[in-house]
Amino acid sequence: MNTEFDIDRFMKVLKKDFHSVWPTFGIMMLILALIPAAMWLFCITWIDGHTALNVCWFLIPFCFFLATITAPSRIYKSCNLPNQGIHFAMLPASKKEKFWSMMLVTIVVPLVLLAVMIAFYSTLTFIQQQSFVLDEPARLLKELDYTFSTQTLLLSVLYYLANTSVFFFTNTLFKRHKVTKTILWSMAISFVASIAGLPFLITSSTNIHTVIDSPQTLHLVFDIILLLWTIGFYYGAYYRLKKMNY
Amino acid sequence: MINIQNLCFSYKQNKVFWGIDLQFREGCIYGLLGENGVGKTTLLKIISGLLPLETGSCTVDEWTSFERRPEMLEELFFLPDTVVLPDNKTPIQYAAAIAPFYKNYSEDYLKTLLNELEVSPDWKLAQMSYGQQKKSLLAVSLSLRTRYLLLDEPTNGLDIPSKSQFRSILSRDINDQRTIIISTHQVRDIEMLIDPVVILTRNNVLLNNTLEEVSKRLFFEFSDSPNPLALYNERQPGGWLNVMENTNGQESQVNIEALFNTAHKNPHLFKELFGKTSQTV
Repeated sequence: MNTEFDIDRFMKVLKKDFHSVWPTFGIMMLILALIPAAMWLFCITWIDGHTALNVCWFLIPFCFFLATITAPSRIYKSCNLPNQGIHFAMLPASKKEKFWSMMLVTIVVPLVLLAVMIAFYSTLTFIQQQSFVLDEPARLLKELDYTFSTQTLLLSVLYYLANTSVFFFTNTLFKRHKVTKTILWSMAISFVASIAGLPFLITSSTNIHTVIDSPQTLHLVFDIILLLWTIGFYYGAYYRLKKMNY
Repeated sequence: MINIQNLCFSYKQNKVFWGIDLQFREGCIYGLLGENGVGKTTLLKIISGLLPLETGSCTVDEWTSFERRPEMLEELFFLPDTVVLPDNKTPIQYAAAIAPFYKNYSEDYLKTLLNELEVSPDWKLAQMSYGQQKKSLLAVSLSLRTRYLLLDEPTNGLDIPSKSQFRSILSRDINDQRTIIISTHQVRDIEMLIDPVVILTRNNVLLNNTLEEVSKRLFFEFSDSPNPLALYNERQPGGWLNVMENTNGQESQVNIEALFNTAHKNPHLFKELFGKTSQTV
């Protein structure tokens, strides 16, 4: 038997982790799912039905983003804490099995919330407008100049994973105020990086079109950067979990 | 068997262990004693694989502890002193969540233990008092029936009937395959339970011997007056307890609290008396 990764044991960890989602993240998910509904109710009472639906659909990505950044720190809050973390560390599964289970749960749970929100608000749209349920989001995407293609889909998936990986990593790094610290550190690093990289950007922006000659290549470069970013942060999180002491 | 060799461990500048060797064998309930801060909890955490070593090795059976291999973890359970509630569940729900990972877990046995410790299986852990939480977690840890059970201050917070119940459960549960290590300050709570005794001192192990070996080398005498030859004496109701070197091979009942105080007062003599046998029992 492969002691580092046994599929039966991994399934047990995954099952246990999914079971723990409701007690740790359930209320948060419920609140996030109902924020657009609350805004819809507010708008329909005070403004008009059309604005209410617009606001509703605009809030879905925002709530999904909130779910993405909070999921790791809510579901696996204690994984790196000195006392509470002992339950996590002493669970008879390998570090790899625990890591993959954590990764899957934190990726899947916000997507499930997104799916539930889309289903719920599509129904709401249908009831209100008696029209094709995806008319409203399609119209909004058109307004945002978003066109569906394999390229944009891949980019969205990579962007989602890259975002998740950062908060997944910092969940193993910070002990308290994990999300706030991540946002503040990201802002600080972005600021320093933009200052430090400014001379480079100025000189290279004039030559960038000669190096990257087509939009496809630019997309590819951006995809590769996001992929490496994601792998880097997930590997960092795995390394942290592997070396974690309590 | 738990085997520790040449273990060195520090918290930053604070040296906790320096080159210690220890073995814990099957079929025994070890009492781990020591002053505050000598590293009792640290040692249990090292055995559980929760802390990395600086140098040396710590193995549980053939597994290196810090690797925290699943094969090791399914045979070892560590119950820390601080009650940390996993979730707001009943003890049975909590055990059921982790039970698939422990092949010897028995829900019936958990119910029996909860009944013996007078905890309702239907109460949620978060709604219980500290003592009840402690009893519930003790019951869960015993119901998993792992071969190695490490208990850090298990009697803290337990009422008097629960302490005797705890002793009786542990005496019943120990067998030739199991090793139980109890770290405690409450020596009297487990006096009749533990054998061998491990006494830790700053950076080192002062004693790791069975009570039989201790009684071969030390004589515990209760008399009307303090004995001038005693290594340690203390006033007790109705007289004095003297601890002396056993030069005549007399038999006596080991008083663990007095043994600890004697060791604490005469560390060098203890090294001489027990040095040859103290690493392995």
